Amino acid sequence: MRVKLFLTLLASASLPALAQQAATVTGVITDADTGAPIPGAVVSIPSQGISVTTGPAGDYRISNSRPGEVMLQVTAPGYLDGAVQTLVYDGSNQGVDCVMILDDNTSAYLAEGANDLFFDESFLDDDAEGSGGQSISALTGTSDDIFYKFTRFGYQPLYSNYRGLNSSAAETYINGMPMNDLIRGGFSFSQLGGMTSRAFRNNTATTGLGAASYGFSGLGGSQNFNTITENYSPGFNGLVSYTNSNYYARAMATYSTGLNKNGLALTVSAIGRYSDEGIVDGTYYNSGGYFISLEKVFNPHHSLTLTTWGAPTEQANSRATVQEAFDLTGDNLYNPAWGWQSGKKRSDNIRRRFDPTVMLNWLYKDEKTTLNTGVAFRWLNFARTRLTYNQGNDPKPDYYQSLPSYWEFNREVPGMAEYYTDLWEHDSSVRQINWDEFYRVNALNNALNEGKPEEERKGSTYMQQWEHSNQFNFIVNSLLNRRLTDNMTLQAGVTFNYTKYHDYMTVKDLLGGEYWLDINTFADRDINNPLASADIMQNDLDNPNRRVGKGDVFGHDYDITAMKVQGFVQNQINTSHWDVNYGLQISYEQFSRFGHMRNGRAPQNSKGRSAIQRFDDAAVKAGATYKLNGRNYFTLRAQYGTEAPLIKDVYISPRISDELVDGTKSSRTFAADFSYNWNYRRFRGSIGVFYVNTTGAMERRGFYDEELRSFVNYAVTGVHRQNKGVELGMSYKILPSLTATFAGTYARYQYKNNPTGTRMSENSLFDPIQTTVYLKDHISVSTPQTAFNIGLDWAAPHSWYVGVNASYLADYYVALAYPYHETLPNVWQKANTVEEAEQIVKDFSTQPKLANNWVLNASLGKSFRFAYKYYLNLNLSVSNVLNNKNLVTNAYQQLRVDTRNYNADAFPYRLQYAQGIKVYFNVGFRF
Amino acid sequence: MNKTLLYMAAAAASLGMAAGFTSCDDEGVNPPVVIPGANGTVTENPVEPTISILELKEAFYDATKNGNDYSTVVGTKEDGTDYIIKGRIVSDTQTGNIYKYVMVEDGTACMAFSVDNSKLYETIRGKYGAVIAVNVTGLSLGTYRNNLICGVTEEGYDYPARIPKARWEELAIPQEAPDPSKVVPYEVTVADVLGYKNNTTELLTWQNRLVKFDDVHFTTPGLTYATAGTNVSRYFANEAGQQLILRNSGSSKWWWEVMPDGTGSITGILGYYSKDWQMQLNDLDGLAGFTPYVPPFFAESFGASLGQFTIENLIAVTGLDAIWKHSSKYSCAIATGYDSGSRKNYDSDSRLVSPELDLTGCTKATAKFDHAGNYFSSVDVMKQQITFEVSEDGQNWTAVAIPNYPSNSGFTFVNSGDIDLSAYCGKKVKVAFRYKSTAAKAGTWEVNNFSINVEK
Repeated sequence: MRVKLFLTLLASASLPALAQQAATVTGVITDADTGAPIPGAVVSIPSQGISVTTGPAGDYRISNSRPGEVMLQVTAPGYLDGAVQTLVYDGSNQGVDCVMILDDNTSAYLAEGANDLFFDESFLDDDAEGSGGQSISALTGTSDDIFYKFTRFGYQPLYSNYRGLNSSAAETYINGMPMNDLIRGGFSFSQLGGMTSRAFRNNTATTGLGAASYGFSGLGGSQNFNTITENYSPGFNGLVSYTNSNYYARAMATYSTGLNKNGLALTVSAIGRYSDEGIVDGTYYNSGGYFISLEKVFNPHHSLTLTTWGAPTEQANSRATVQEAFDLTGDNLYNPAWGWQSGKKRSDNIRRRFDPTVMLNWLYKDEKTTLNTGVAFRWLNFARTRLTYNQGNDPKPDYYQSLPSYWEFNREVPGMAEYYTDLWEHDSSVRQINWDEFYRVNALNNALNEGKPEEERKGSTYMQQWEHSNQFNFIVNSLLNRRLTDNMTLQAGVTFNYTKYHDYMTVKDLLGGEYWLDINTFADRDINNPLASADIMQNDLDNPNRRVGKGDVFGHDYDITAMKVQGFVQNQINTSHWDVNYGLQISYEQFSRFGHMRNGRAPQNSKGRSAIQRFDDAAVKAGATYKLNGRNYFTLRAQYGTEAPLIKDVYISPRISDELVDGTKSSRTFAADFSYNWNYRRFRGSIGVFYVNTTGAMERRGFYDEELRSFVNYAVTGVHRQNKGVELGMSYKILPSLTATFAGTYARYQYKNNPTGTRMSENSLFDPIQTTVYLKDHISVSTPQTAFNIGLDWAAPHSWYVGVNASYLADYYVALAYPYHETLPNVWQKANTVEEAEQIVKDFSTQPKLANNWVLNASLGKSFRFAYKYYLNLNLSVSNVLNNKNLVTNAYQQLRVDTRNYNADAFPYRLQYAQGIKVYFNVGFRF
Repeated sequence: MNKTLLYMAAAAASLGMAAGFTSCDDEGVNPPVVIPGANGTVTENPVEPTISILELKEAFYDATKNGNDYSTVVGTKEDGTDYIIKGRIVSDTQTGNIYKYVMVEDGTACMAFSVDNSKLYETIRGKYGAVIAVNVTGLSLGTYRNNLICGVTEEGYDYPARIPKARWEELAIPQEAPDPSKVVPYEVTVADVLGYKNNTTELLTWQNRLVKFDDVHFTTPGLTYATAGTNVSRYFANEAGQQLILRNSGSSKWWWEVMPDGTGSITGILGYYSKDWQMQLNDLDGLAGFTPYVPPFFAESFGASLGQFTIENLIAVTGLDAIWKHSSKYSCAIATGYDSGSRKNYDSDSRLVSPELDLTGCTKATAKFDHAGNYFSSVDVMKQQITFEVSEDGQNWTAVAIPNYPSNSGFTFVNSGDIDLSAYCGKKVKVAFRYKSTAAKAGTWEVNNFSINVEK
């Protein structure tokens, strides 16, 4: 078999060889540390004047080398120059691979710890009422791009949205398989279980609109994690860490066998993270994780890899609240989500996740072709708790009527504001959740039930529920990478994704009561709609007035079944002065909702299968780099295409019915970027501009409206967003061991039109209300739009390394809520003149801006080596050295506005602060 | 290296360009201020009136009712179209003095709509300064105690009853946002207004209009505008003493405030009740130029008794009980030497003496009172027989001139005018009303509302 193939290759190569006396040299250039391929590296034979550039898979081919001893030189930006000496024979095909070492190892070391920490903490509150569509676009993956590194770490302790795009704009691949989920569009890094620095260390990133070897990539770039076992360097790696954050203890161990002579390779990894109470009161963290990758290489062409991983995690989080609560408690880490129960802290913001994934990859490789075919099964299990109640006021401690400001603004009752201030300052049962009170009320219900017949017995008044959203994904993918000529490669891929999403609630804890009655007592039965029958209260009309107990499903229960087929093809051409790429992606997606309950507010369209929604989409992209010389090059890239709306946004109130948001259609995006890069021995960097223009987009946010006592959904359609900005990243070697870096962005992420808003309350029978939302020129993303970071890295003698950097974060706005941008036809209740009305409208629509801030970070590391093969790394990083406690990580306006007094401050925005100084101490051991 | 510098320069230039590319349109738009139309929609098509308010009033004024209340349903015009009026709201219900009424002025007249909404000031259909159009077909015009208003015909009511809130929301179509600067009152005089009563057209024109009187004074400064929960009539007058009613609600947010002194202007709705105009203030901003009421240094109204005043008879009283008496009927002190029983006149000379008044520490002092005089031989005789006197020791009295005397015909009270007592500042004095009569002829002098004001 091998001989045959060799003969064939020989035959095909020998004919031109006879004429030209030429040899072929091929190979792959990879990163020594991560094994990631390095595209764009220049491979040359200086003695023969030959120079080629590696393709997106890091591969190159020189087909016209003169036989004999040749010195192959490899240069890649950010890497130390490499050279390989080899002997090539006439008409032969010589494989020469080269691993490249990063130019600044120091920061690479430090990045490892930062990487883990970053992804551990990127559980932004994905509360429906919270940052909603604002979830961060976490990019990982190795890239030498200085600006790109900055977007990952330069914003800490805040999160950045690369180019102001949502997480769905960045595509995440594992072994070339697109892993973004179909419902929410993004990729949740928590499913990697904190093992990014080891088990998922072999990764590649594509920045901006660049072409990738593993897929079409996204508008916000992409990353590919490679878990093919043979790529892990054999040995053991153990890591024990302490931090004063969400958790304090963290331990991780990884062992790789490397490829043995039977063609087998195994990598196993395990991780644990724990804290009984994090830095924020009433939080905890408990997570374990496993990773197994097993490969069998059958022959040089075929191998099979099975990878499986998962990380069951339970954590109690903090929750955003209003500034007034922080002021009253005098603590920017105040957490309203917990309370005392019998002397113990109990949280109402518990999240559980477990996202086990199993993936099988069959790799076919030959000289010119790599074909990676895979199949993956993934189960995404997520649940969060929420306290619910069926009468009275919201029992959350920071409920607006329990705050002194409410009594100042809305009720002129003398003394009440002072009374509440005093309670907040001195009574922890007011400041925090009062669990004992819930048990007391429920116990009272039980006491009153004594001797009553079954039908008159009363259930719980307060109850804690689980809100589940689970997914099953089945993904089949095939990715072809073929070198067509020395200068040209082809990538093509096809993916099929079947997703079943399940959203429902269960009873977590009756809090001492007898049962929970599955109705919505806040349904607006009599107030607004006298014609409505009592049925409107029923969550499940087919089982009216159902009494549910612990573990029972109630409230809502629906599935979404989705399928997506996607294919792409792209061509990359690399010549000595030009790199050109172009590609096309097409996709088809369909989905439908299946309701398991007939909801009383939507008896006609809540139960059973909905109509199927279908979307066809396509995108084209192209890029060109002009290499003026080896040191300076210019890149222009552009992409144009359509994209189906995210399934999570399409149904106006998916918990209730399958009613669609009016005007649901694919959005249309044109994006372009232009950059200039320079790469001198001591000074390298890049400066660029980008422009992303999206029209016809859709957004949807849900929030709990305390007044309506209902979940209210708000969708906007026909949204025009424009993100544009400047990106700069550069590094200068002051001394061979001392490097200064500067990176920053100055950008504007704005809405550019006044789209249509649709609002619907989940307890209402009314049709959705449509209105214009005046968003033009408001900021569409809550992230610092101006940010820069300046850093110094010193690789000191005796394996010490020291790094200091400072970030400046500015132009940071609170995530806006659409109702603040509607017309206010009833403003005349309050305004007596046009001027007064204009002032109120302006107060409402002025988007709150957060303070600009400086953050200083430092790190220190030392590496020991003993007995030749054992390495011990000690690593201390301290972020926010100056203990700045005013850094807002997350701020969003509530969707509720005061339509009684038209006070723009009546429902102020909610926010969360970053902790002050954060220490991360790491002891690593490997051999 | 030179090349490097060149590229650096290029980079710097592109950075500059890029910054320009990014920095524009930073200010987000504000939603427009909208005026809600019928059923909550925004008014896009302005409504044109089909009749002026005066024409409408004249068309539905029924002189045959002779002052009795009535309520006539407004039908359609001859061409079948609706009667629509349009004007600016000149009433303001915010302080509760005007209640459940919307006064709409269109330049020809003002229409009072009676609307069953206690918070009209919270809707653009009742907001001071807003322009609305109202379709009055189907509503009713009629009088309530001779005031022509618009409401609805309802069983149990002779006059137009209040328009239900929801119906008003439907029929009143907002046209312009409130602009208080465009509300201009008509400047009138008390004399003019009194004259308007005599002409139906003028009556209809001026009823419920926003008007302004200059140079008027309140007849009872120092009193509250009303009493709790009760509507009260107060009066204001021009220099000539011609009076009009100021009708104040006891439920307003300022009924307990004290009416000011001096002269000034009054702006308010010129209401009508029975046979009289009655001004109603939108709020106290309708008053301008008055001086705050300062309680007098000493006051005696003689409303209930002679108070601390004592009587000193210089001639022994014969044939009569007393020269000075208190009249509860007329709320005054009365002096006369005439006995109505025997119809005889007597000689008399009697002082009504005040308690001691401590004027130490003041720089200016004035006294004033209201008085009426009748049955004196003549005004000149009256001026000799009724005098106002001051004494430092209670023994020696000095007469001080009274600026105004009554007419000696009838018992119409006139104000004495300010009597200057500044010469006694720094001293303790008594004052007295001195009355004389002869057996030939004895006049009658009535005095009340005596007060002394001082300036420190």
